[in-house]
Amino acid sequence: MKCRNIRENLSAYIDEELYPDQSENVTQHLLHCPECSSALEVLQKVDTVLNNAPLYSVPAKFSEKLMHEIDITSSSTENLNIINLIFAPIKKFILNFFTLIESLKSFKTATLDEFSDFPPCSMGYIYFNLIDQRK
Amino acid sequence: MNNFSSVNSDVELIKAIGNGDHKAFERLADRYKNALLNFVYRYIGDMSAAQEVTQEVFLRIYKAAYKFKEIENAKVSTWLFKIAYNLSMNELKRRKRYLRLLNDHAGEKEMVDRTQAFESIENRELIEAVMSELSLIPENQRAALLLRVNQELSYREISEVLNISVSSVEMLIFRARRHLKQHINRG
Ligand SMILES: [Zn+2]
Repeated sequence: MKCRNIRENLSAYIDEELYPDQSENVTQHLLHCPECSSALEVLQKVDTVLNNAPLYSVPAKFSEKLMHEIDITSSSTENLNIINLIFAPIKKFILNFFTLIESLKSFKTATLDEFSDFPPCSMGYIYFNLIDQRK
Repeated sequence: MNNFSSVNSDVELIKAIGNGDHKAFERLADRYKNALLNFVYRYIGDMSAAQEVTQEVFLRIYKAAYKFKEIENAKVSTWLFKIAYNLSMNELKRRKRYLRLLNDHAGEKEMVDRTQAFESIENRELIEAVMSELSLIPENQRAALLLRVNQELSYREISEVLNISVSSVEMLIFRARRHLKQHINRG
């Protein structure tokens, strides 16, 4: 019965994943149980075999191909960034401009003279001059 | 653009990659490409698919490296193997659908055929037998055992890769070894 419990812990024992007291239990048991000791050896042999199985390397052109893929990826994201760099400020300007115009429309009832104190060349100055010309 | 010392930690490399550093990316790929290839190959049993999956892992890392800050407590290697595992799992699912149609087992044969160049015939036969058995055990047992024995990940790290509890990892590895052990006894 005791052996059965030990056997269930041997795998985690090999991996050093048991709690210290559990691990100590197994170690003590192994000292005087040849059956469990040979069971441990068989498990360790499984690991040895796995560690001696052939290993492969990536193909010679792997890194080159990978870096090429990355270049494509990053240049396409850079293009996106350039588009954003150009369009984001324009979009922002247009949005702000229309917001300004919309807000000015709500002052429809006020006379134009009330807005005559815009500094020369400011948005307001240009806007009201345009409206004046249209009249 | 960058001035690396000869040794960089994985985290340093990931951060540099997040800032678009191609040299750092190349270095990380060199560090892990063969480990990932062998893990994926042993997991899915097909070399050309393993090469494709390995490349895809790195492409995903490149695209997601800037996000790494959020999961800084995780090891970079755990992250790499998690991506590799998920992609491999998808590949296996795709293959199963395909194999069911063809009723073919080409993948299993290939795994045996590729074993080569060993000192003694006895050793070679044992390795062939165990690797063949490995390809037949449940997939999650295989992944857990490979990550433990070949990659030396802890149970906690494996639980993150496989997205299961630590005690489940312990059970999977226990069962995987039990399968392979029986095979060794017979041989
Ligand atoms: Zn015993």
